[in-house]
Amino acid sequence: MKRESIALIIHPYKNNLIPQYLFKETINSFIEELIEASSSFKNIHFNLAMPGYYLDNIDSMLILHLREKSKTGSIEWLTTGYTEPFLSFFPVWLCNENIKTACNVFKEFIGNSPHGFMPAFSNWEPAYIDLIKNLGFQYVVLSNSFIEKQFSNLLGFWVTEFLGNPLVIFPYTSISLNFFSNNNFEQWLYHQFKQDNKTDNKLLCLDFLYPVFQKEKNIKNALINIFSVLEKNILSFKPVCLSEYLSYNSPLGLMYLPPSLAFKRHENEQKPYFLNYLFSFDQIGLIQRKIFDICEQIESLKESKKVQKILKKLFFVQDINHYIPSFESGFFNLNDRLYCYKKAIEAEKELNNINEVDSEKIKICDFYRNNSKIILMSNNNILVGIDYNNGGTIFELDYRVREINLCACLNPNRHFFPSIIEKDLSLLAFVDHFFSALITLDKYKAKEEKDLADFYFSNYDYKIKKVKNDLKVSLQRQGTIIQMEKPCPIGVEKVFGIQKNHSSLSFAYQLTNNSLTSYNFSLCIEMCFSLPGIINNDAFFLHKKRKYYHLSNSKLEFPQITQWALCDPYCGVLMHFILQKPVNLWVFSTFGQDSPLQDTLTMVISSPIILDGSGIWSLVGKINFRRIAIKRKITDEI
Amino acid sequence: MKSEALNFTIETKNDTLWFFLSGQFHSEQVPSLKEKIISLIEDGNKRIVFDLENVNYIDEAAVSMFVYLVNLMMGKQGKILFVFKNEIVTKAFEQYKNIFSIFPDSKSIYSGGLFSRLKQKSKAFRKKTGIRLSLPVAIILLVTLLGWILTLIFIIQSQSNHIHVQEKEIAELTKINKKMEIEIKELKERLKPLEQLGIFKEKDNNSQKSK
Repeated sequence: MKRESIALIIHPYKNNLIPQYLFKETINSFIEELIEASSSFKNIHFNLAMPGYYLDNIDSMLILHLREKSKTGSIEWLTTGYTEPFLSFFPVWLCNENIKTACNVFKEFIGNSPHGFMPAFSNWEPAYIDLIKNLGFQYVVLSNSFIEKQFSNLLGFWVTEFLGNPLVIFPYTSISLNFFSNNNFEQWLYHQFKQDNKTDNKLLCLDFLYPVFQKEKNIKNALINIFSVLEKNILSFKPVCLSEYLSYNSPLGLMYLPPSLAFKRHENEQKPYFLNYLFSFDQIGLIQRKIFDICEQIESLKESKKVQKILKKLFFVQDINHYIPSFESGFFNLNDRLYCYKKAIEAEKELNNINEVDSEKIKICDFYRNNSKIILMSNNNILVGIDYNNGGTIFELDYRVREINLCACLNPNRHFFPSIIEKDLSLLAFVDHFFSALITLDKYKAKEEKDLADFYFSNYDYKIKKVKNDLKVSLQRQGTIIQMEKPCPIGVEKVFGIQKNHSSLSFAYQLTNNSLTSYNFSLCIEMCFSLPGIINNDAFFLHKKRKYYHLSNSKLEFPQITQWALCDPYCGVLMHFILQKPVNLWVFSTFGQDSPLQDTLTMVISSPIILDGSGIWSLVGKINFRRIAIKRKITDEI
Repeated sequence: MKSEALNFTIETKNDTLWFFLSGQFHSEQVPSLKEKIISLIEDGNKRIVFDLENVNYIDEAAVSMFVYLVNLMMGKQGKILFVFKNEIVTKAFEQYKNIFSIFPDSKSIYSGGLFSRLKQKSKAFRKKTGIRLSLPVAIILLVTLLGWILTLIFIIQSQSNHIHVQEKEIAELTKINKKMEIEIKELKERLKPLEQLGIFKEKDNNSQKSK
């Protein structure tokens, strides 16, 4: 009988945000068990795929063992990059730096560069072929779902190309720990080889996925199970390293692969329009815009030594696990979103230090290259992102002192278009509604009332005012409001202001009646805040020294108040609201108790207004941000 | 959407308002940007710097807007400076470069010393006389002129020294001449008694002279 080849890729991956000490512990115990299991099966050669930063966390004695095994040729190394970069999502140069850093780490610890590149979630971009080849990789390993269906049962390797530039592709079939409880591994192997009756020298590439963070650690048994099956059938199957097979065999043919991604690690299904899906939610595009902004600033300083420190932070923001939604991680998870913002804000702070920026700053820039602009106002303590094309709303509110974006809210409902912000779905701050004077909290929550004016998500003109240390943006719009079933003219001016080195955001509203008849309506200013302490019941609402907890299922109503505070000891932030005029305040959980997303709180400032003919109504307020002691540490440091 | 193609950042550095412009600067953007900058000038900002290094297209209308803003600022005793060295913007500003204060980079705005003072002076000259000199040409001319002056001074000095020495020599010779004349007179006085005795004849003396 002809001996067929099996390339086993052992692939540990980080499935959750965990503290660094815990990660170190877990990855070391995994390597220890792998070494122990493999030491009794000396004839079994295998491939080991991992990001570069894992090696930074593995004990030096274990590294020595791995190094020796690598020298004898029983282990071949593959990498995903220094972290697991999302190739389709970030600038090419940043991904290049990420993978290059991984190669350097492998050279330092293992003695040689990894042979193969294995993008996480099989995130494939043909334009990267040149980059991958220049970094010295011999091949790329991708899910076999990327191969056209009629060829997907062929066992071997392919050559792909992009603009005449070729690269070897090994398609893999993935197996996980659960696989062994449901299947007979030995029989399954024979079945796989039986399916292909066309290839001469067959190779089955097996990706054995192991989630690093899990409660039941039975990795050693699983590895022994795999190795013993392979050793038992050593006369039928030859366990090989991928480069070894590559040197003695020829490819099955040329296979064009379009940009794609497999949304789940274990499922072999590729999604070519994955970015359209991701951009159908709020936060993903906002995070990307922020990272692109930072990358543009870094690009000009790339050679500086200080930039290396920032780059490492960005490598972790690049990690695909923060974006692809899964049970344990992904951008649906507030911790993942806040982690990305935290690292990005840290990078921004470092960049400000390098560029010696110490004053207030205003930036009018692209809102993710969709031809619409946004206003970013910042000083050393806060950053405010204003979308003047969508009702002058605030989509980002960074408290830089605590490295947190307080407006990182996400609506789990998919947008109709792949647009970052969508009317009625996006959760933002300073969203203005004009309702009838009889509006109540219950009616507001139920969304029963019809908006009387056209200011909600409409275009505003902006003006910038800069007097000494004060920076203000004035947004103006002349619109209409329905009164007595007739459209009547009304002017709205919204002003946002920051001051040098002050942790406060001042705001003002001025409504002008441009007619001679009087108007009667309610102005409701909606603000959504996402705080990690809401789920853990650490966050509370403070009014007149009374603390209101259980915000995840709250419904609070305060008539005629001028001061209140929202406090989250979990992340160490207090937001103190001060208004010059008494208003009604409604506070409620955005999604309610039944929703899995309980981290978002909606706050509505409501004020019934009687605006006489040619009259003016105004509201002036301020949000002061303060640091308070952090009760718990945010879970992840990696 | 041409009206949205330009990005800009406003930052304060050392009491100066910095505008960092990037992208394409089309004529459609001129009215709104002009309005925004005028309102900032009216807020009392007296020194504004426009960094146009990252502008990759600039319309003629934008350059005219800057001419207007520079005039407006001058009327308010303020100053508008420009930072760029990219070809596209340099070409667009070529026609008006005498009017604008243009610097190649942000550092050169703050750098002091002789050159910057010279540069500032040369700007004053430019405005008064309309004569323009580039910095290297100005330096070469200055060095040549200084060389000429120094050579002239050296020649005059050496000539005057020479004259001085010769004057001294003439004075000494005149002195010797006078002394000799006195001595001759004295000798003649001594010879007179001998002549009267007829021992010494004056003819001999005359014949010796004629010889």
